[in-house]
Amino acid sequence: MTEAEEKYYLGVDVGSISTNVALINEEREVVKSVYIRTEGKPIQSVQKGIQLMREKLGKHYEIAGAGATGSARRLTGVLIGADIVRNEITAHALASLNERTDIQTIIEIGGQDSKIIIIRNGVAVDFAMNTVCAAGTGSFLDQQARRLNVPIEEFGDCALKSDNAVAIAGRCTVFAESDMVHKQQLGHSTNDIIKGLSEALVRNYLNNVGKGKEILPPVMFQGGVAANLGIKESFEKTFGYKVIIPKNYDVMGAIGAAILAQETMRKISGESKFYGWDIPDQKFNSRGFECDGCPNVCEIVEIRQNNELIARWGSRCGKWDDLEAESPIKA
Amino acid sequence: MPITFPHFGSLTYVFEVVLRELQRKDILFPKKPSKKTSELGSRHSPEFVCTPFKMTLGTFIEMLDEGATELGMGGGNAYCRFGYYWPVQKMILEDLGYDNFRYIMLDFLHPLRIWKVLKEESNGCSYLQTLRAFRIAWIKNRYTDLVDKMLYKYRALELEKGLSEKIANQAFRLVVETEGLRNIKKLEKKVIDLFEQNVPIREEKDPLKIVISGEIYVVLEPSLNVDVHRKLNELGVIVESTPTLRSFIDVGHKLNPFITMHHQIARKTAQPYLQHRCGGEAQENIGEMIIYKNKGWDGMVHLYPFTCMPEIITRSIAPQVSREHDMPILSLVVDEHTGEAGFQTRLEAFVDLLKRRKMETN
Repeated sequence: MTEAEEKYYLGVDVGSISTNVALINEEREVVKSVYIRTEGKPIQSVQKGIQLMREKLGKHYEIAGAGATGSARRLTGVLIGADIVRNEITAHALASLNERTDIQTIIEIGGQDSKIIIIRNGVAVDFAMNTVCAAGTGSFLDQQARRLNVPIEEFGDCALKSDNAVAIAGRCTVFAESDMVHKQQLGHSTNDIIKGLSEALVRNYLNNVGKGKEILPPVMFQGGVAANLGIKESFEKTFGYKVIIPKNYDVMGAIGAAILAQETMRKISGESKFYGWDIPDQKFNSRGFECDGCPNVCEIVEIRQNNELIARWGSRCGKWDDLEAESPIKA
Repeated sequence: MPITFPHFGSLTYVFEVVLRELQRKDILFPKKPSKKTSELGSRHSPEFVCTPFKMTLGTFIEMLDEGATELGMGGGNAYCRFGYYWPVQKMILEDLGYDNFRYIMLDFLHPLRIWKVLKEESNGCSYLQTLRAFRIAWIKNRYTDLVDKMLYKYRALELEKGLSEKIANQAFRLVVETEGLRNIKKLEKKVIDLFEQNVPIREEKDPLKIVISGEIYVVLEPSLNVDVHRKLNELGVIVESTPTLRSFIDVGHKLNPFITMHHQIARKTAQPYLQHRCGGEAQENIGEMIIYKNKGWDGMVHLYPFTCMPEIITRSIAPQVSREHDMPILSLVVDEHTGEAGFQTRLEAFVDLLKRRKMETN
């Protein structure tokens, strides 16, 4: 459907829960995207994500630039040969601004973190991430859904069916859970509890992450949790206006990484370092060891591609960053 | 009777100087706090006490095992819990079975009391000799602060990675070893020359500049703040820390009617937001936000230990100051559970944000 000469940019976002891959064209339109679960195996999920992409598109798409983001961005950057490795806050802000230029607030709730990004006149001016606690993120909802025996995909719809939210303490995941069990035992309906849970999550988010931030419309809501219509409704109820959910809400990080790759390649104008579509066929493995050089006992991780050492990190002093240093574990 | 003290960033050198000047020969240098130090400290501390308590306790346990018997520590009627550090640590150490040790408490708010304690702990110095030793320490503190400042600038721009740190170590040694007041007063030029002549830096028109404020121990001790200064330097950002022990011990500048010390200006600048000193560096930090904004700096990283009372006050006032003065502030909480990855993400994002902001305004 496209000519081979056209340039494409690949973005990979590996988070705690999901791995997203997005391919955009020169006009920053999404050609294809993939959303899979990381399941604690970032290397395999990057390979799988790219493989799925390859199956969907075929190999003939020429990659002019690749970007990596997410909590496993450094690892991902090494695996795919990324031209740029950036944090997810920048990536999300860019992707949202690409979607709508007049955005003033971005709410992003992912698997284990939640952020708020404040944008004024098209520039990110402030941000916050959840600090010491992961209550009110995707994993929490995931767990409670399993508890209540409701598939996470239907969680939002259940909340919409209720018009009588049960009050649930949302300060802490563990307390919320015991509160929820208590309400269950009292005989409240599952739908009411789910709605209560959604409201608790929103309250918790606004009290922790959104504390002291000036939230102005238009507000964009993205990340995996944006699929949950119950949460969206709770946000709208609190704000008193509509929140926007972008079409590709679940892969915004990957789109941002791809845009960053495009920006970088424009600046440096050279060949992309992207390894190519055969990444899924390579054999990657990682191994760790504890350095006994000083009382810090740093945990060192080595990444090998077909048994060849391609990256190593984890030492505070930096002595293992040198790939020439002889590894204590045998290949 | 081997004497030791907490490892405290570049102040470790100042403590070394004062003990040397007091003719103490039995100085046991504290180890750099490591993961083991923080584990030891946390295991034996109350859970919700501030992190510096845990770190210093960990250091003292390590040093007692090495044979130290005298523990030098700050204290006194401080505004926050800091004043209780040593009495509580003493009880904990006694419960742990250590019996052959004693605390030397230095009341950092009262230089006269420091003077008296220093004389008692000196190796036969008179009051006059002690005063001289104390004076050399506070003067040398000015130059250790200067080395820090130079390092945080040159490391951001250095062409050869690791060179400025090497030079900084040389400079610290130079400051410690220099003797005689006349030579000491020449140190300022020497330190600056050392960096200017030895560290080649890249030309950058308008590099990003971030000021680091917060609780003094967290800001000064790199092993506790996961080396925020270095992380920012590696992102190409020039940094400067504001808290300094000199605001307490530099009696020379304090008594000089022609010199207004920086922290005094900061406290005054903070007046519209916070009228009282509520311990730690709360008032100073609020002031610094405005001072550094007016100096044209791009942002502030505000560091404080988990459960630090004064800095929680700063933290809650910061958003208002940030809004009214258009100064971006990133508050980071540090404790023994701090994950480096989370820090890195936030710092990178903050630097990105400031860069884009700068691009937009230019």
